[in-house]
Amino acid sequence: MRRRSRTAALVLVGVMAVLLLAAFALPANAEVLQGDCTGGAVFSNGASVTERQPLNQVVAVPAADTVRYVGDTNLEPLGPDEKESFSGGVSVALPWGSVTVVSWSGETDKTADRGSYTYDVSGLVPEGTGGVEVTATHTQRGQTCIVAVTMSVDGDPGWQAFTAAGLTALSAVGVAGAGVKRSVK
Amino acid sequence: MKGRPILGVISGFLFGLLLGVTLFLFGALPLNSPWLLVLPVLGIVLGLVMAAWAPFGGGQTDEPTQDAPAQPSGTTLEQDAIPPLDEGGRTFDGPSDADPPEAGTSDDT
Repeated sequence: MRRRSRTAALVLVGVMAVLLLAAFALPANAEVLQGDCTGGAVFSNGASVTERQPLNQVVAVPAADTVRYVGDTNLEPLGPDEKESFSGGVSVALPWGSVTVVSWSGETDKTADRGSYTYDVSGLVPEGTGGVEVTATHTQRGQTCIVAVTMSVDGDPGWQAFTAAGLTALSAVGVAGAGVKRSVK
Repeated sequence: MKGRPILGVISGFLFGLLLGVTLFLFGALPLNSPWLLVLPVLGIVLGLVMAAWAPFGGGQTDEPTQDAPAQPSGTTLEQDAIPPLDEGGRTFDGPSDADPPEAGTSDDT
């Protein structure tokens, strides 16, 4: 009986090790880019991102920052009093699809823009996580640009990660408990 | 199933789900990884396999078993080596030193 239990424990550990190794051996994603748009952003920690950033490279950005950005649709500039409609948004890819986090629409007289934008996601997004694929879409004058980058919040894993690890260990005990023979009454 | 399949399904699902979340939070998995969907399913399978296998525990029963354990060949019970018991369950080797004195034999008066 003791030998059987030892074998079962080894099988459990082996299965978990295979799962972990398989998870680490993920193939790199392919870069996704549609349209002729170009752009980039520079963060205060030195990180920068452009439309040519490969998706398998994770860009770690600060949780709160003022980012300098530049974007160009590479369309012909409009006349002095001309305006045209535009729409777009930013979505985050999930294992089962994506969710739109920001969307925009309206009329503009610009085909390019530059400036700075201040954001703060500290407390909302955990630090040090795996890459989050962020896709930006912009449609103007019949042209749709899709630019995707993989980002994460700079920093070390926080209490959320250690809480999840503890709960994982607890549920592993439950899995082992499922292998305990029921007593026959 | 000899083990606990319901516990296996629930805890296996939670194990796979939380393992995926942990790997993401520690930076080992991207958020859009298919492993975040696969791991809970593998956890359920693992829980069911453990419940079917049930390698842990003795499986104690309250009823006596029908088949007595076979006596190993070449060995015999040596009945003579077991001392006989009296009514109190004590061995019949004579009075014990721990026996209390009988009533009425005291010399206190």
